Amino acid sequence: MERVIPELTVLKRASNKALIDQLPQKDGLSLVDFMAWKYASHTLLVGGNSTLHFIGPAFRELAQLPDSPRSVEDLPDGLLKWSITKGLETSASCQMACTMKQIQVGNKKQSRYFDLKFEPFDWNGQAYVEVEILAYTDCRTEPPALARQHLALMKIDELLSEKSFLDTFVQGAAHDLKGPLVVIKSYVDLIRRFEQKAKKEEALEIMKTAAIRLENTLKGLEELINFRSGKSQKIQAIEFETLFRNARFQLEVEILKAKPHFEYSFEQTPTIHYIKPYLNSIMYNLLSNAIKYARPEVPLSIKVHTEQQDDTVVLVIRDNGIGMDLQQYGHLLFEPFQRLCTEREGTGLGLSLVNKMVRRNGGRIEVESQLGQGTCFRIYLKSYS
Amino acid sequence: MNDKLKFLFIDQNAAFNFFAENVIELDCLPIKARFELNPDRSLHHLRSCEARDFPRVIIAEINMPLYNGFEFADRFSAEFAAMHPDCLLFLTSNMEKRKYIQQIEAHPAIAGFLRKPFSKKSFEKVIQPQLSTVAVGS
Repeated sequence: MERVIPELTVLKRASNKALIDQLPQKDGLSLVDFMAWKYASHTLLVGGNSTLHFIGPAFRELAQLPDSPRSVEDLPDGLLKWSITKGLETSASCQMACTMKQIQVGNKKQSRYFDLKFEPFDWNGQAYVEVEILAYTDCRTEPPALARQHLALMKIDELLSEKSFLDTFVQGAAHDLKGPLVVIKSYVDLIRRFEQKAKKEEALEIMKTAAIRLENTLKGLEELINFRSGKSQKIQAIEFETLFRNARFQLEVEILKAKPHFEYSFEQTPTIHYIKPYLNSIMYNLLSNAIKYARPEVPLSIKVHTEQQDDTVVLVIRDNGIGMDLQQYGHLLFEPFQRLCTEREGTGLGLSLVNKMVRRNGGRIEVESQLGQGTCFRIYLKSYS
Repeated sequence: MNDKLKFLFIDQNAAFNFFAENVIELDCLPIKARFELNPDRSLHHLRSCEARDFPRVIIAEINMPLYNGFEFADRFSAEFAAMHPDCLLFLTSNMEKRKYIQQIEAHPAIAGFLRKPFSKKSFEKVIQPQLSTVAVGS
């Protein structure tokens, strides 16, 4: 079986290939490669239909595999197979990493313990789950050392991911702040050269638009900074109808222009315990996008409702706007300063912020979109009640 | 009119396109310019161009939504570079040149970098030296 894991793990753990070159070397391997090698020894890579794309050699020995199974179904029956199957189902349903701790296999005289970690990720449009298995024989003494090592490596992984985000963010922020300033500065000189009043007026309008764009970018940055600093984290009961009304009030000017038809219902789940400024921002940004990306030839329709799924509230916002090509550009959707549309103004920060707010609080976002037909956002919010 | 150079400006920010348009007029630069707001439409336009209408110079912004100037350069290189070897592709940005210089020098289809906004000075110092001395146009 081909050794696929290092490349995919590297991509997952260090989303920017350039980071690998900067990491300290160990025995000729980069640290990320070392991590991949270490985990590759107790690792499975599972693709669609539970297909096994890679089995680490240590797992093969651990599970006493007589041959090369093609799927999870082919693994020997027992608690380990059952645990792996259950973990895959859980990570697939919630689209998040999940962990199963201290699964005991064996009897009192001779038993082994396993921690299983399931990390779903996408690569080249295909969904995979990396299953990491930490095996130890004595849960009283070994796990702390292994757990500390595991935690340290996870922390490195988290820091690498954070660094990658910050690099992208700073680059985008510099560009988006500088652009309007260059416009304003260069137009000051240009206006002096115009003789016709109409041209001067047009240039002044352009400068004003640039100034507004600069202001919006700074507002977005301020909101993002506040979010990252952990301010405004008080949890309270929030009524969706009030939230929706407030967002519409903030978007009064845009609504007057776009004249959307709203349909909404919060009867099934009228309230949630959440961080109010976050929820305000989520509702505002999603409604703002729905209005902004309307199709000019069709009356705009925006449908908003809530659903309850166990301890999760799902906020659904559907529009009949211009839609997006998610297959080609979906990976840019939540990146800061990235926009998927050239015909509408935007900072490229709104969805990035919404995504961070939702995910930091244990939720997730699902998006469906069809070019020329519209978009549907499903925001899964973990209620703090 | 026939000795004007055909330029194609590609920038999602209409403000920079408007600026370039006025600089060309005010400084009487020998340029006949077309302005496009996105790379997809630009490629569509280039595909439909007859040989005599193909731009002599293309100036594309590096930071465009969906795909950037370098990705546009890749597509330009694949589709048009062989058939239009005289066409010069420059990338432009409001960021410093040194940020992109390695990528620009390594790309066979990119003739150089222009700092925004477009000006008579950038035309004379960066673009003109690379143009052929043969008069171009219909």
